[in-house]
Amino acid sequence: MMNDSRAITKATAIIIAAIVVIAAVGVGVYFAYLYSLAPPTPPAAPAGIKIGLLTHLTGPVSPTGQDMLKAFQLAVEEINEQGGVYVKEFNKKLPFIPIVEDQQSDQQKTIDAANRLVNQHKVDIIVGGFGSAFIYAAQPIIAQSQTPYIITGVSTPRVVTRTDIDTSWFVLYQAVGPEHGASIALILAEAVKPVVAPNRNLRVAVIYQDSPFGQDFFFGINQTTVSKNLPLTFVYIGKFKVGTTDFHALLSAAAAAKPDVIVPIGFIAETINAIQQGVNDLGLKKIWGPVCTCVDEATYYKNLGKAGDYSLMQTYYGPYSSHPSAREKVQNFMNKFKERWGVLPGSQGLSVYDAVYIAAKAIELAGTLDKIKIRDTLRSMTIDQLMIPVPNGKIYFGAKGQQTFEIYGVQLRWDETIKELRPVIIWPSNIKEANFQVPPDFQPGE
Amino acid sequence: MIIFLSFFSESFYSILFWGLIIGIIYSLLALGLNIIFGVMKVVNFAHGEIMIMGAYITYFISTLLNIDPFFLIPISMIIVGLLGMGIEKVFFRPIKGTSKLNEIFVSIALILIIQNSLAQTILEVNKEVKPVLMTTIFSGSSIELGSLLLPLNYLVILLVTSIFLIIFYVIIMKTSFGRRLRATSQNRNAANLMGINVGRMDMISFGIGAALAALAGSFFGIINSFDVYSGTLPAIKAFAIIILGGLGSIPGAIIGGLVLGLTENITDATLGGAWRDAIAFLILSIVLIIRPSGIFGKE
Repeated sequence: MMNDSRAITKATAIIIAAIVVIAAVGVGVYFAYLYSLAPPTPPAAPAGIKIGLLTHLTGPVSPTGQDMLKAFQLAVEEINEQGGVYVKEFNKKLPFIPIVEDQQSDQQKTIDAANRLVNQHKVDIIVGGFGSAFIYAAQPIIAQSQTPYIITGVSTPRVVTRTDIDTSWFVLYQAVGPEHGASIALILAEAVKPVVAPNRNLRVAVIYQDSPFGQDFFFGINQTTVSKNLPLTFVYIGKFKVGTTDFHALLSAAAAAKPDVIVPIGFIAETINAIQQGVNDLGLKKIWGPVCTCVDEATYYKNLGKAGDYSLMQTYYGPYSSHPSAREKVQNFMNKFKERWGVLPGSQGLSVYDAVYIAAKAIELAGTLDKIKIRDTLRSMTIDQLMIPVPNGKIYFGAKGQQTFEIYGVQLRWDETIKELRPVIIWPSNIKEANFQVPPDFQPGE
Repeated sequence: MIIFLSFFSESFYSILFWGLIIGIIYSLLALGLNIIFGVMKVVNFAHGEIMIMGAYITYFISTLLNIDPFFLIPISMIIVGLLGMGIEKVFFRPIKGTSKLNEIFVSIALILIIQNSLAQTILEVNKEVKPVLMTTIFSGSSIELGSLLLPLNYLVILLVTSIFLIIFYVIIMKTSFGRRLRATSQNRNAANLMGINVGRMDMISFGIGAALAALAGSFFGIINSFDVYSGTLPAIKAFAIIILGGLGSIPGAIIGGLVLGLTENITDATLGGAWRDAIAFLILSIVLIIRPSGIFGKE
């Protein structure tokens, strides 16, 4: 019995063991099957998305840089108040972690600042930057780090067309000099010439800053005049150094050429000084402008004073004018900016504010913080216009990596009640609020 | 485009007038720098920033009290003059007699300290640092002289500066104080042995130099938009002027300033603004080749 009993036990044990093994394998396979059906666990999410801002906090360019900083902080705060940017890869919203580096109004300092952003802070994306030469110099280090960068404060298209580095990491959200120059020529030919010189070419004197910025503007004016055969004659072309404060001699020489129009192309202080010295000191009764978009800030209207009455400006946004397609958004932005900072924003601030939202959208659409995917999304995505007016109301950088803008022309008029200048849109015809007015004491050229 | 101006054309006289005006401001700035250098033998690279500090003090008091900037210039000169004396005592006196490099680094540090202090103060007051311009009771008014339009602001600046320079010259050349200042400038040790307190002369000369910079800055701010950083370029030019006119020479600073102002304006009108500094510095080089000690410098 004992033997039989032991034999049964042994056979039973083998069978039980086999059943257990089969069951275990079955259960394992079953759970493996179930596991294969379950969604994968998302990778650990970072604390946030590191967004870098290149701007000038110190030095001569800091007035513009501070405007950019304020707009950047406002946009980041707004996005973070909504919980941040949804990143599919982590299946959650991540806040922006803002990191600001100071260009210090200097080329080498800009390179250092860019280096800190990409190599020390290892940001996911960069926005801002001001000054063509500064950003051009900092581009190689950013391209090498393979960090997507939405450039906002550069007027030369060369930052996205240069061939010595991989420019696919850059997109340019700023109207470039030739584009501005083209609109200056068109405003003069289409809005001013028919009124001032209906039977002859408009006589134009141009004085421009002797820098890549000024050269690009003048290139745009000249190229558009030639290519479109515009009725403009350039009777005087002069250059001035960056930071010039005394324009008397240059303007005297320009006046000697008997122009109808004098177009000063420079930064805000240069433009104010040129027009004031021309009108108040030299008594030149000419049409002034269109001047650069870059001066379209509250300070310009305040400081230029009555000397700027009837002068012209080409712009795509200003504290007192905006394109009809963006008016409501711009007004909301200005109210928020004023409430937050106590001052009105400038055009560079507006560009940076838009750029932060573009960065957010690109990351959301890419669904990841993978820089290559963000870069590709930036160039391929089409999103609705934000505040700066763009053709067809759509932002699209495309393979060129460059956005074009809807520039318009304004004429400034003195408002006696507020004792300041205010703009009226005079060009293009589809959005104009009034016709160009000839100054009452205007002295035409010969 | 190059426009050659005929000698008696309307533009030519206009350009001469504006050259004279800018030259006068350069002269004031260079004069202050030269007095500091002449007495202390210290090169103060922050002179342009002291000039802008003067402009802002005039601007802020004028805005606050609604008083014409012209009337506030003496107050600005006194404040900046006293600050200058403080700067001399705190920053330059401790390093005097040590390496020239120390002086250079201290004045570069001063540039940054003054610029950033001004920027932060303006940011607190105005919420933003943007260019400002002072308007006076004469702004917008002009006198017509033939075909020339002479704005009153500039004529007042020309007149006040001319009177000021004459008085200043008389003080330096004819008074006991002027003799002590010149003696310190010529030979510190001998002056010291003669009982002149050279340390005090250093402080006073720095104060006078700073006050002159405040005068130049206030005039600069009346005719130009300016910001915290507008002093750098005029200061560089002031250095060129004192080298051109002769280090330590008062007439040299005045003549040098006028030469530079006129050269710049004539170059602007004939060759274009891009050549402005190149031609001005070319003339400086030629003068130095012919007279290495400058126009009025001692051989």
